[in-house]
Amino acid sequence: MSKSKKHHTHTEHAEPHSEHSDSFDTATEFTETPSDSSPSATSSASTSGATATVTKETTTGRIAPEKPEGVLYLGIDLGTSRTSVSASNGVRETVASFVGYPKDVVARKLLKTDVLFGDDAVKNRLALRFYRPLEHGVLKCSESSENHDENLQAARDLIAEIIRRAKPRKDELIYAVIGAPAQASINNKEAMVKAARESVDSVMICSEPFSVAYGLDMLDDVLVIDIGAGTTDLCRMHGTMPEESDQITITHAGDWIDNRLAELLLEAYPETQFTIQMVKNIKERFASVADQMEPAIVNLPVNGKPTEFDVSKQLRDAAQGIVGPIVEGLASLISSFDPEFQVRLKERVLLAGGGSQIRGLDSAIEREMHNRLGTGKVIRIEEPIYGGANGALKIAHDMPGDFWEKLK
Amino acid sequence: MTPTASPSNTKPGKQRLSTLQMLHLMRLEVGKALRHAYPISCVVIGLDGFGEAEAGHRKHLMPEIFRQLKEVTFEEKVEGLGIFTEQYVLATFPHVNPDQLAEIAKAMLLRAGRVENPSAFAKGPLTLSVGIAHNLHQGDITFESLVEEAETGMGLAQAGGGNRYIQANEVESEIDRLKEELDAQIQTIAKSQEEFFQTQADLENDWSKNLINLTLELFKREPEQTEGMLRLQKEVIAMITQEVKAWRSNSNVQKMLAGMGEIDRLERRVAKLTHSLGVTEEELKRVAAMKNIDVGIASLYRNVQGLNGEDDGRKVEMLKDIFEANLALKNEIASK
Repeated sequence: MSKSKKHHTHTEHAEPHSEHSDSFDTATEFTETPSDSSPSATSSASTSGATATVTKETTTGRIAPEKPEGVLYLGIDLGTSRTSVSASNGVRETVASFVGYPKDVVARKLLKTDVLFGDDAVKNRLALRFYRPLEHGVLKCSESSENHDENLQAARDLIAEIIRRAKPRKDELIYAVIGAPAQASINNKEAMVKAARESVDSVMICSEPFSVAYGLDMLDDVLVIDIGAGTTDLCRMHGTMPEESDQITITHAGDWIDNRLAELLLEAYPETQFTIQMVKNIKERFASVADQMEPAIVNLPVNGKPTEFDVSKQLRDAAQGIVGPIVEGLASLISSFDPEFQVRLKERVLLAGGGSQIRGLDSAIEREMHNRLGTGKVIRIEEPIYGGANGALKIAHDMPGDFWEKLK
Repeated sequence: MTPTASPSNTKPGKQRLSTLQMLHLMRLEVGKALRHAYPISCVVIGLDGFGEAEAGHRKHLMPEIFRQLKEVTFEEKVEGLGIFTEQYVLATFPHVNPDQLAEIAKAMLLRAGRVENPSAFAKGPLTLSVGIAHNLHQGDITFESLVEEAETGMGLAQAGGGNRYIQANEVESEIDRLKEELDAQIQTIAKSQEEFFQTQADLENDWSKNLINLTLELFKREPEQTEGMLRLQKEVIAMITQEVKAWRSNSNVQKMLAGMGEIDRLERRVAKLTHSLGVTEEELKRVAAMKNIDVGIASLYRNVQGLNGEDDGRKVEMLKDIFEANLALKNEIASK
């Protein structure tokens, strides 16, 4: 097992990594695998039929596993705001996480469909039973929650839609890795698996910030900040699977900024009328924490008349509001790490997720880290929307074939 | 009446409300009328004689039909909410009773002729079919049911040749009454037909018996009943019986009965062939649709997957952890 640099242990891990590791019967098979052969190579005899694995000789002369033909691997980032997919056929798609069903026969005839997704659903929401099936990064799956069954159905349909958009062939098996927030509960993971089960042949759930780091091959001494709509996940990578203590989830994320911006706008311009969706659109268009930002001039109705407002200050203040809590979380993860490696950790901070598109956020976090922690270097990932999905796809693709078979 | 636009040309800023927003308001208005028990009427207006091949013309004419409806409601001093789609104009009128609505429908039928017909196929003035519905009758009423009733009315008006309006809540009872009446008439005709043929058959039978009896009477008049006479009598009776039998088998009544049997057999064969044709058409549609099936895009990685021994082992360890956590999750779900 890989080294651990956690300050509180200072030793190599001997205890199981996962909270569910006490019932892993099949894991024994894996650990008994001869050291010179890969897990998937050992599985070649146990699989058959359409997904039978074969081996081939690589250029280095070693026997490497050849994967089952006709499998489409998917990495899915099921987010509160957007759901994205990266597929092994090269397709990448994203859709806003909204689902709507026509309220009645007339609406169905007008819309000419039984279900709408994403921006289409938002645009026609007056004629729809409208659902946002995720909240704070997880499915609204509590039995006691309002519209539990409807939200679960909406989640199923959303997953089916994003898979449909990945254009799978009818004859291909679908193996998917879905990113979940770092501290998603067991109930939520269950709900995700159940929702996905109808559309895929085998599914795994994986921590979202871990997927981001895995996708970039940055698995050693890295801090990942994954800013979503519902939550911001902070994760410390140190060469092994992050444990619960390596991850922090806070609610200072996209939705928090929307609500804060709405409050600030009402304070500054009490006569204006707007919805949270309008605020979200303003944020996505102008959000910045840079000192020199493009003036955010927006039209908001006042007594029904569109009126121009400069909301730059409110926007900067709202967006700046997440910097403090994020750096506080980073400080907590850094301070409990091996002191010898703390500096290296601070120099390798990855900024990912839709929220990372806020202009100047990387510099703002760096400044705050300098103030609180003495130093800090933040790297914004190139593809904020697809970072999680790309990493999940890489995990799906690297995962040995027999593991997928066992999870069917 | 509040104007709106079709979904395809809804442009924010050009209209006050979009079609879907209007639809939402109509739904609210119906809900309010049901809650507070005031009358609300619904009208659906479609163009006659425009099939799918002329959907473009129909779509082009809908704004004009809608404009005519607005003028009519203005003249009738009623207010309401309306939209138009590619198929029809739909409007609701709160506080408008069925009689007033019928007046609006009549006025619309008259106004249809004023609209220019752009279709190259349809000759003569345009005609409309109007379905109307209201909430002043028994049963569960919703916005959806009102619109469905009005749509049914419009469909029946079109099926009846168009250029008419049908009050939706009377449609079903009228159909039921007509059905009962038709069933009774069919039964009466069938019974009369059966009685007629039976009577004809009985008459022919009686006539045959009578002919034989009369012949026998003739032979009985001969005082000398010789052996030769008796043989002749038998031969004559046999000949008459045979001729009568041959005649009866070729009589109109018998031909009619045989024809009816044949019609019955043919009808059953036609029904069977129609069913078979329906199945074939469905199959053809399915096969035709398969041409348009999106076959998807195959995975680029058809021969590579999974880490091999060339990796340093750390990733393998991590993937194992992910797998184990998911296996535990799967077992937990299965145990519930």
